[in-house]
Amino acid sequence: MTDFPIQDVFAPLGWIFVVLLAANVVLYAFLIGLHEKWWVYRHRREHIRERLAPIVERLVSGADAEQASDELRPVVASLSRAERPVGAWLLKDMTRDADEQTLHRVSQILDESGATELAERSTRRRTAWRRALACEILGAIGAERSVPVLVERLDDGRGEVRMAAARALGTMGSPLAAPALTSAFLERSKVPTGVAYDALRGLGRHGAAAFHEGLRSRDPTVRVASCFGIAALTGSNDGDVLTGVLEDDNNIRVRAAAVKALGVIGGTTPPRVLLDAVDDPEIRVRREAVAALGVFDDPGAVDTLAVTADDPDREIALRSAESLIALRDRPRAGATAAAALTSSTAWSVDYARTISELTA
Amino acid sequence: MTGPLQIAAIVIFVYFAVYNLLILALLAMSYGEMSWLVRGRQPGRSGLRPLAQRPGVSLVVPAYNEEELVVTTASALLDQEYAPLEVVIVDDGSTDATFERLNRAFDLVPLPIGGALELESTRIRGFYASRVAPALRVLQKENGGRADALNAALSFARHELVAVTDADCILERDALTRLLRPFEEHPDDCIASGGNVRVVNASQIVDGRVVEPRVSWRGVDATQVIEYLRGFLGTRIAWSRMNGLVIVSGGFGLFRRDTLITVGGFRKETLGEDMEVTLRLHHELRPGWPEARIAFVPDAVCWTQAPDNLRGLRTQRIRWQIGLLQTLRLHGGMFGRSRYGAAGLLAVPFVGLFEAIAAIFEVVGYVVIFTLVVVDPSSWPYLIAFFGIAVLFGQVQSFIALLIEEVGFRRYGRAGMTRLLGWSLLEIFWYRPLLALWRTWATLSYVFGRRSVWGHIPRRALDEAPAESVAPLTR
Repeated sequence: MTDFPIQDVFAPLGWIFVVLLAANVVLYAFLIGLHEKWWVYRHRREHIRERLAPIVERLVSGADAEQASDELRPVVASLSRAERPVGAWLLKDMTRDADEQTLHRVSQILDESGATELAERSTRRRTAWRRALACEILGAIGAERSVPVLVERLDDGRGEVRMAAARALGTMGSPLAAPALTSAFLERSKVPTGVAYDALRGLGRHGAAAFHEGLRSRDPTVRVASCFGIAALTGSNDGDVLTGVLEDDNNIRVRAAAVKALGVIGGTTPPRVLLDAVDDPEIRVRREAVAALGVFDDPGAVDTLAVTADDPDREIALRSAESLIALRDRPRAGATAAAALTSSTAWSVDYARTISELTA
Repeated sequence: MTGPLQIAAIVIFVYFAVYNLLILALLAMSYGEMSWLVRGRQPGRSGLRPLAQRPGVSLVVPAYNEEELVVTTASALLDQEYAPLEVVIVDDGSTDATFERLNRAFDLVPLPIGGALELESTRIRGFYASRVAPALRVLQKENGGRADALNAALSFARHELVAVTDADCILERDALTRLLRPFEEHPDDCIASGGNVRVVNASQIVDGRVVEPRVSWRGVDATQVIEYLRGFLGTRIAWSRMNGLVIVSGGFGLFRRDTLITVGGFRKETLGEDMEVTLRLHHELRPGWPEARIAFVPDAVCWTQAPDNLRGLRTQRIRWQIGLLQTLRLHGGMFGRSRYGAAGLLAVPFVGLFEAIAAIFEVVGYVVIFTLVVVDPSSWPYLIAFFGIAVLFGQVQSFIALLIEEVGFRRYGRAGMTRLLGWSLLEIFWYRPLLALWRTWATLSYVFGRRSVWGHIPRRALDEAPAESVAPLTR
């Protein structure tokens, strides 16, 4: 054993040492280089900001908007190719809280300066994050002619680029994007459900059809999102669609989502199925149902809620009491709810009343 | 005599070579992801949805004898930019004036404790709302430990999502908003997300906010900064990408409340309840819910006070090591099994084969090398080569972690970076041997002295697919 050839086994140690040493030197140089690069970037950004800020200030204030637009145009046009994406972001950032008209003006100026073409070309670059960034810039500029370019990126090989494209389409809100986003929402393979959902909501009423179609999907996740989408986009006219879901869909999550969505829509008289949902065998549906009843201005729901305020499930009891408190201030159900609250001995009513007083 | 020692030296060398190469692979993957996250996604992040269409968050903070900090912490947490938000401070049987300070500062009003609680905990003494801060709740209970306090808070929390943090942690104002991002993207499949915990020691704090991150001159503080950077930014980003994250830090994590309750809440028997609950979520839910995901969000930042002396560090690391072993014991069944996804196939084997026992290998390695040198003085070059390679390997890892930091955050100036690099160069000579010794001690004392606390996982029969056992998230 004393002749074990440790020298042979450890012979490569020297090489490993040299390789690691070289790696350290390279990484150190890279780290320093990166630090300096950010310094240059920051410097460039501040320089552009200084040039844009006084004009944008006047543009946003609205006092001198026309002239400010005219002055902004040549400044943006004079930005170099490398500076233009930074300029586009700064402009969008500085006008984030501006009114619609100002936003439109800024988009127009960016478009005229060639930022759209530059970003469109960048959506085909080899570096994936540059493609994503280009998509986001296109979304911020909002030129409708970029929709096909962004739709094409929904089939990009990288998930992050697809997400950026979907978000950009949602930000633009163009109806032209509806078919592609609908397909992405229904398929679920291109972008996460939440991203497709937000993008479709960005389309306003043009996105609503996707959610109606989504209710017929075999995928419960799509049906759940569709319930919320219908409530967010189409409002009271579509309560019937959701009651239909509650009657026909056996999936617990979808039914709970339908009940919750009915609560978002609200109204004066709760649908029969919503009242029945209070006795649903599934606790998640019952919890959503008692919360939803607090949104409908209906004295008929008060008796039910007064009973469920004593439910052994803590969450059902509390949500029922909160619904009663909410109904107390409504024109039709107010008096009945106030009487129920006065006569109730449920702990949950005491709890909800205290919270209501503290937040008043 | 030297033959077996030489074989042992080779085995240990190969073990550490494999371990370090795997860490390098994780670091490289994290670097790729980080550059993505920051360059490609930061500017165009979608804005928040309208208030009524966002899930509510209950931010839970266990506090035990935190009279000095508790009011500042509560005020800072109430100032989070996210809404709807509820902050639940749990006074876990403090013997100091924690509750009195809260009462004085926030004018507390008792609320009824009410019906049956969903999770067991020690006796609840009172539950309070505040006249001053309507979003604040204070839960007063008998002492039962962190996990017990969290379970009590879970029963009282009212929102769909529950964020967990500590009383000595400082959350950045937008931290919750950022931590919610995976839930917005995957509202039906995301079950938890973990934030990035950073070391606050020596940083400038004003009104409960970190205004200037700094790196201390002191080795204990600075070395922990680089260690946290390697641990959080260096590897968790990669594990998150693979959906194999095995720990959502107790310092800052976000969970679906109903999912946590479904799996039984936090376990009081383990010292590492954060890792245990994360692994349990994988263990119990992934087989029936393969899409379930646990994400790490590097830009959701929580600053924590790390131990600033060796005694505190020793206590912390012994606790972590025992917690790790307890958790592995409970969830060892996941080892190498594809039904738990990357968590079972890759992460648990990595933790079990390397992170849990590397300290023992390290200590044995020191003993073997030094004995070899004593027995056979011609082995000196190997000792030097071992240390040289260990230093350079460690330094490569630190460089990559700092690169990730530089690409993503750039929180530390040139002076801070230089200090971090300097201390990372020295850590092999004092920090790592100390850690290895403490962790080996913890392992041995656990194996030989505390075997009785090893238990089994109480399994609940889910009568439906786990995905169906949760309520749909508001959107």
